[in-house]
Amino acid sequence: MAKKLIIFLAFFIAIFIPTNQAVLNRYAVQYPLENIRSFKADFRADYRAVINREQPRVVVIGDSAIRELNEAVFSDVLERKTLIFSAPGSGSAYWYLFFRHQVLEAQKPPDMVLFFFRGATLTEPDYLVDGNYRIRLEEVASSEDADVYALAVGKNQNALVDLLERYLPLFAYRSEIYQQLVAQVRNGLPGWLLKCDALCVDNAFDQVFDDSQINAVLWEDLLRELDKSIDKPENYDFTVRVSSSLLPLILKDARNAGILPVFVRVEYRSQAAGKAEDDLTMEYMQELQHYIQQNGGLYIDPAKSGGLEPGMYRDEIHLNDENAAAASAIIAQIIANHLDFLPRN
Amino acid sequence: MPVVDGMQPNLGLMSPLLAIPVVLLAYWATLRRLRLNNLVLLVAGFWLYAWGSPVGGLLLFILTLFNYYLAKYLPSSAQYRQVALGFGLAVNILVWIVCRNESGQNAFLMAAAGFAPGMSFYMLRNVSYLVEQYRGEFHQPPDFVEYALYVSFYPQIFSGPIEKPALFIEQIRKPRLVNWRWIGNAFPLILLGLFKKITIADNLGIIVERIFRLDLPSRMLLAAGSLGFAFEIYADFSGYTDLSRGFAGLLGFETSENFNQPYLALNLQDFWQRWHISLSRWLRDFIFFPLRRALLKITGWRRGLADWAAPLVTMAVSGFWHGWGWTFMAWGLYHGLLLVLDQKVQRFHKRELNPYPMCLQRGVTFMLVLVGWSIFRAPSLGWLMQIWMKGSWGLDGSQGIALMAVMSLIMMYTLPLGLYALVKASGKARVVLEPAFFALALTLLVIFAASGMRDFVYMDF
Repeated sequence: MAKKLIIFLAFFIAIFIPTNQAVLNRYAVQYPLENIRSFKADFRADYRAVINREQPRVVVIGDSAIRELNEAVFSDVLERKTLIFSAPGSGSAYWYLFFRHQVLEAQKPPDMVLFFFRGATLTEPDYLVDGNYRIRLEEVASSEDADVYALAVGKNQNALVDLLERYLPLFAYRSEIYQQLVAQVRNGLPGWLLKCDALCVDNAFDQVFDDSQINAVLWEDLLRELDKSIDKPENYDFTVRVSSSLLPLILKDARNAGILPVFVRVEYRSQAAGKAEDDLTMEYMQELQHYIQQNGGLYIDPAKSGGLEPGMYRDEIHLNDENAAAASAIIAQIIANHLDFLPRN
Repeated sequence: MPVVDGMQPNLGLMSPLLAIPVVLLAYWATLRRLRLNNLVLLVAGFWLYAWGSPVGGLLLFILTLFNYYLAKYLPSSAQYRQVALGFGLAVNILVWIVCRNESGQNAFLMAAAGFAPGMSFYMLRNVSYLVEQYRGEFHQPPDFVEYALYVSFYPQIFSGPIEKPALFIEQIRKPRLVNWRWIGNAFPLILLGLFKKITIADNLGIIVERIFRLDLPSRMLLAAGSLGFAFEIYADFSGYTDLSRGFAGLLGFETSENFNQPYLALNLQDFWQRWHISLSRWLRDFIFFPLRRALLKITGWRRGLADWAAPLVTMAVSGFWHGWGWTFMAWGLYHGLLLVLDQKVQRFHKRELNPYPMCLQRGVTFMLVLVGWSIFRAPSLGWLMQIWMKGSWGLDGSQGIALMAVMSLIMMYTLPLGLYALVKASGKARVVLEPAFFALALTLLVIFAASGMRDFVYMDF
């Protein structure tokens, strides 16, 4: 027994110390690690590059519910060039980080940003930030986003994790190492046998595993499961939740940059079918609307204007392909009606 | 079993991990006083269970009382005894059905009862106990604490293994010895369990879920998904068993192994002797044998009907136990049918021990098992039929590239399982190779320890 333990420890030390040292070298960080309560330094700026190139006047941000919205239709109806960025499985933390780095830091930021949200996501910054969602969040965050980290991630992080992240570089950089490892294995064989590089594999994955390929019934299950984590009565206490959310930051940053932030509530199929809402949700939405308008933003609830039909949906939140353009026109028109006070092109 | 990437609470894993120091210290401190020691273990088990599910804990306690006193006061008259047993079995099965049916018409009942994880395993242990008590198999019937400890032994409460009552209660009655050798044996099991769960099962689960969520994946992608699921469910469930055995070891208990390299089985019968061994044994003892005996009696000891009906019904029950959907039932019937065919093939070749090359037998058995997993994991039978009838093979273009990439990932995650099997078979070199493997596993565990882990698949059962 003792012999086995000694051999184990010897091997463990021989493997563990060099790998930790390799992480320190690879990411050029000092030991022990500092600034652990923030995101890692590097983030992707390709969305910003697209905004710089296209110079839209309207940017739309949201989760997969806006995937089918038609950019051209939006541009036509709003009479402003529009770019739509749909990030499946994202919440307010992702949207704010995207807004902060890709939109605000663009060479010519747009006049208006539309945030499409569902339920209480705007006041729940820790919605979809753990596990695999963290990897996506890291893509749009930098080490200077400690404020966002504290609200979105930090409140669920305990002292033990802090300790491990500070003293075990391998643990602190686990997401990055994991991603690199998976990318290398995933891209290796297609690259070697088919000369298909990382971008080519990405495209193949996008085509085969795109959210639009997901079974509609299973989407409903997934959505129910996702919504279960946020649709709790305590999350609809607006007054309590807003102060610990990212909403004040979004509004403040937008105001400072002279951008109009517009918050558009995603209309569910059940709403389009006429299902009434519970009092708690209605009260929350009223308070949200009031808060947004008080702070220089615009709140739009397309369900109140009507127009969308249940048959336009593929599942509870996604529009179907056949009706995507028509539904986009209806939603864009509702938004346009609220923007009458703004100058056009 | 809808699972959202990295979003599940980790009830099965986290509660015991957090409470280990407290429970272990209290337990070890009372080791010399057996009755008190058992009581500590029982109370700690209920406390930990109720921690994750307070109403479930209360339900468990009431059922434990009910079963204990029903078994204790079973009437002596054969007729009334049978009625009492039937009543006890019906109550247990009814509670299980209510707790399992999380959706649909019993949603209200579920909300009232609260989520009671591991109820399927709890029900099987209770049925074993009631039947063994009915058959009079206990020389000395257990007292309440001994019985309650058997049915709610914390390391096994969520996903087994399902121990035989008489054997396990024997261990409860004997003073336990916990020394460095026991502890030294327990930790590698715990590490292996965590490694299988976090590094292998959870990551394979992401790929598998992605494939089985598609509207119409290609046939080859479905095959890859089934392959991934075969190793996901193996790593998940055998990982839980390793953890459970490791924790039991820390308490001085020796519990059953539930898996013995199932994917190296030579035929389907062999597979079921290697896969979820304790459930297979339970099904054999409480469904297959009694049913077969009854059918033989009915048919005047002619084997025809018993030979095909007993395996079919037993495996259909297994399917029903695993889940409510038609896919689970079809999976059970599929395995039942294969077992019937297996019997025929074995009878046909009875003079030859191994009529075909071993690798061929293993390969064919594995393929048959994979087909079974595709039925088990499919969202519906219609979905599966659609792929078989309308799906493309998916070998070219984007489908081919994605398939290749997915297979590479599945192989990467499966590799450690193969490596460990080789290490275990390495003879004298195992003394060095096994600690080296664990050192590497612990390093990889640090990398793969994402902030959100999923619950064990079998906790849903």
